[in-house]
Amino acid sequence: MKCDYACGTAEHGTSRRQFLGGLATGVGALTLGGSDSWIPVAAAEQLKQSQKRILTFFLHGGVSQLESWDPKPNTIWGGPFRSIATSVPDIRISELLPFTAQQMHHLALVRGINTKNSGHGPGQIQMTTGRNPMGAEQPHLGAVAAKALTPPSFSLPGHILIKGGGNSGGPAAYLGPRFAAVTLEDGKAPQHSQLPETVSGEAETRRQEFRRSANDRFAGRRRTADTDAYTLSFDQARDLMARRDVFDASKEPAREQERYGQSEFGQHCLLARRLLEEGVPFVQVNHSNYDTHYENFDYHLEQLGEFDRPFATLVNDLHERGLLADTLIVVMSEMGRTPRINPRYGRDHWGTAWSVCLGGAKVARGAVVGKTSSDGMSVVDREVDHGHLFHTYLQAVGVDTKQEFVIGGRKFPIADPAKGPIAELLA
Amino acid sequence: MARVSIFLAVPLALFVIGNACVRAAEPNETGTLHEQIDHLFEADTLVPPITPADDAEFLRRAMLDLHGIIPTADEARAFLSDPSPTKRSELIDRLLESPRYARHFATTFDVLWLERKQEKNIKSQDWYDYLYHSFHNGKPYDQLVREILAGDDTQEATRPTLKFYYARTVEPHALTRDIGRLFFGMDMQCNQCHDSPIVEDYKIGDYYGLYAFVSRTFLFQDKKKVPSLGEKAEGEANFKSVFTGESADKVVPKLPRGPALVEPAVLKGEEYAVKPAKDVKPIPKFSRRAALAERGVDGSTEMFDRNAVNRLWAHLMGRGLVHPLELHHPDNPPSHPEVLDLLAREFRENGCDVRYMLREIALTRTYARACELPNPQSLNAAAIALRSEVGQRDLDALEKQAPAANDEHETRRQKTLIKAKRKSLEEAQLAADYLHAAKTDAKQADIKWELLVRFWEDRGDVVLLKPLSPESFALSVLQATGAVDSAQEKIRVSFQSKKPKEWTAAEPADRPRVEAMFVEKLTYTQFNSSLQQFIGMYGDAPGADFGANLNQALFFGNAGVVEGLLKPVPGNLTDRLSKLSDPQAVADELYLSLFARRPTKKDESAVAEFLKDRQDRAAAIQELTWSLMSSNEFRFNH
Repeated sequence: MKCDYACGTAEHGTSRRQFLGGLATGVGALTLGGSDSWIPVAAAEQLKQSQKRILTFFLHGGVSQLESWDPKPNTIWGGPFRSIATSVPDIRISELLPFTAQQMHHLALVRGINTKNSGHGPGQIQMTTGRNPMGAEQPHLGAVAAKALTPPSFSLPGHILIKGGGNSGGPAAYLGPRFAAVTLEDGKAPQHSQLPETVSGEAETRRQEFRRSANDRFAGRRRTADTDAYTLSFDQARDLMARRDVFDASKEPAREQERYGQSEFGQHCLLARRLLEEGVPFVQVNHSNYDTHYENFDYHLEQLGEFDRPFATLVNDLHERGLLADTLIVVMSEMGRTPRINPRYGRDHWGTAWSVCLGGAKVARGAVVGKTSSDGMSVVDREVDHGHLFHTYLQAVGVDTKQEFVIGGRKFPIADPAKGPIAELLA
Repeated sequence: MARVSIFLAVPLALFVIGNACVRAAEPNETGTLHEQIDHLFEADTLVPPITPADDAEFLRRAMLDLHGIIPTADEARAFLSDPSPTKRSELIDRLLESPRYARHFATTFDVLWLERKQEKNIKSQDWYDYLYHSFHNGKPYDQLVREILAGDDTQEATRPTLKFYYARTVEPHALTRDIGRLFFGMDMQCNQCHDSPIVEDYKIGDYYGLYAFVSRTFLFQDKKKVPSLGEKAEGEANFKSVFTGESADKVVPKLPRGPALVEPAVLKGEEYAVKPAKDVKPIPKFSRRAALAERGVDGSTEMFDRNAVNRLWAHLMGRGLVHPLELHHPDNPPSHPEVLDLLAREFRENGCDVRYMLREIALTRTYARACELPNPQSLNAAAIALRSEVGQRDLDALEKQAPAANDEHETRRQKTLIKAKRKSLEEAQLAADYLHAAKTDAKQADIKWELLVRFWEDRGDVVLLKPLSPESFALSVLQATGAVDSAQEKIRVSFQSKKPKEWTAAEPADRPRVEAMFVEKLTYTQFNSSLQQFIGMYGDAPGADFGANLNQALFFGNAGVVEGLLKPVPGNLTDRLSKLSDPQAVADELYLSLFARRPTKKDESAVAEFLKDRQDRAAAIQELTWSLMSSNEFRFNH
């Protein structure tokens, strides 16, 4: 194969956007047009329909697979909790997740994860970037998703992190600040999304109007894709400011707020729903903390008790509102927890045999891939790691992960080229 | 080896068809470098003549490219009203002599070479000062890179260069990749594991040839954990391709596209000047790293010079002759092969003098074209037809030429030229397509014209709009609003009252220079936190495509940073404008301050319209200024 940038076609000038289009195979509408700002209304509607999204839950500290997705009751290290039946006949999960159990037919489990790591820092990098930490920073899944899935004229950030504790960010690395996480601290609207006190609404309208007319005059001299992009960024900012309510879960009807509960996590799930309904390509909700070196069982009872109902409500709502087919859901941690119970009734860090729950989008509903030994100490079937998972997440929303991002002429494989997706998980 | 371009093998002739005058490339050995560049460049493009940039456009462009900041209204006024016919070359000379030139190039090369990586072993300030003084003192580029590659910690003056190695954690593969990219224009990342499937010309052996120079270098820490660069006398570069299984052991160090290193024979047991021992840094008698530093930059490989001039060209023109900048290879030929040959040759012959190259490129007509696109009507049909005809003939001749046996360099060169010739035929085809469509179908014609313009943009055959770097954007906002001027003035007054010892110690004739350096430095330092804010917000990966985003727009509109600069302070822009009652005078001062140009009639009436009936004049003026600073004309260097 020869280098494609020298392939001699004049389309080279639009390669960035064409690349995006070619990348999101399931989202053909994204290839529309040569300019960001000229999408016809009907097409925009259609785009909203098929807009792919990713919703991740990051359970900070490392949720115990034994108290969640891979329970082993009545075994030596199984712990005190039972397993319960779910809406999928063959799947049983921990009794700490009764509401989630009823949504299992929308979800799937990967039970054979071995990330060969047991540290928080490296684990977080592995699970959110699909690579091992080494040298250059890699983009977060959210940045990759935002880059690949954000429609051209989208007026909200493409990569949102709803932070409820947990030490995390959303680095975009070589993808650039455009795709870095916009963090909603405690569910508040993004930074700088309100006018400074000294600028009135009328003044803002006037100055934006004059900016546009100045741009129009300059366009008479020269207009390029870059000038269009710059103009658009201000218009997007205006749109976002006008839609600050999108970031305010308290605008939801009282009934909805009740359904999600008054816990911070519940409200964050409701906010995530709002954002997904607006077509935001990537939302991560943090929940903290699961680092249970002490009193693992009490803590999981408490934490998962908070997690279960809002999570299940959100899965069900996405389904009922017709969004689940286009929305991938992932529940991840930086690692799992040791089967061996320590003298403080805790479980320690464990990356050797643990689980992730995922669902929606192209994920095969009710599937279980991988198996751990009866003592939970090792993966006995279909071992996978963060690299495979990363491919799977992105392919589930139609991104061809064998492609590369071309940034400043340099090529960056979207996912680890040495790995591939978990094919049996993709319907 | 003959260094004359093979393009010269094409029959030299002067064709006159109708009123079209088309000349094949002919070297103009007697002209100055900038004349020669123009001559070659113009002979090799079908772009209709573009209007020259006017003085205002030229001034703003040159200031941004050489100083990284826009001119003040006063500077613009002075330049516009200067009647001297040589004022442009005088401007370039003045800019290159200023401390701001050293500042801008230190910043540019800091970002290029460190890529905003954080590293703690060498203070950022020491590294930055090293670059600043290197550019200020006109250190030849080959010497600068030699010092960086040498990584010599025994000399206080060059110790900061270790930052280059430390920022890569002295990891040999990271170093191989970055040295290949940054100094030789060859990104051989893929070749660590196999021949590149993307770039046919880059081989796994090329990678390990370069790797062998640095693979023995390691991060040494003495007893007190003080780091430095150690080097072993043993350790071989071996590889095995994961694709083909091709393998080699004990790869000899070899420069990219250059000769293999001939290592002196060393007796066994006598490899070290200082033998390795606990807490002792070993020093080999023969240092491969030192050999890289010497031979890499001395012209042994043409890639060093070609990479350097291509980057300087890109700095001024917005795009390399070879682009992407880090992919020099036959399938990615230069847009103007003879221009690159000429620049590389002149660079070496003139002592790798960065200022000289910048000056000559900045003096070309090519640099001084207006940013408007040419008029489609002025496409030269005869020249296009001729290009197709002659080009095809040339291509046939090139393709028939027997491959240069056993001469890799010549083979590569032939391939490059064939590829370049195909590109130039493609241009002729696109232009012919447009002309054809223009006769029959206006809509098709628009599409074809668009394709042709993109082709030209990809080759830098029309002026490219360059987004301001985060640093330049910040400094230009500070300059436009008058913050730089006022800070500078305060610092100058304080300097003159304090008369620091550097000043009193200097020769009287040298004192203005000392003062200028001092004032520039303190002014810049004062704005460090503003710069950091902009870098955090606008700092894409170096070389990345322009990426405007809404976070930036929210920052510019709402963060209060720009608002703060627009508050009236005696002497600043808002203050000056508020004192002017005539809207035309407001427009004049405003446009000169932001764009270095006088407002057009349309601009004037728009400003007058905006100010009409506004009682809150200061507020109105702040709105106006904000609008224009957030416009495309401000954000881009054009």
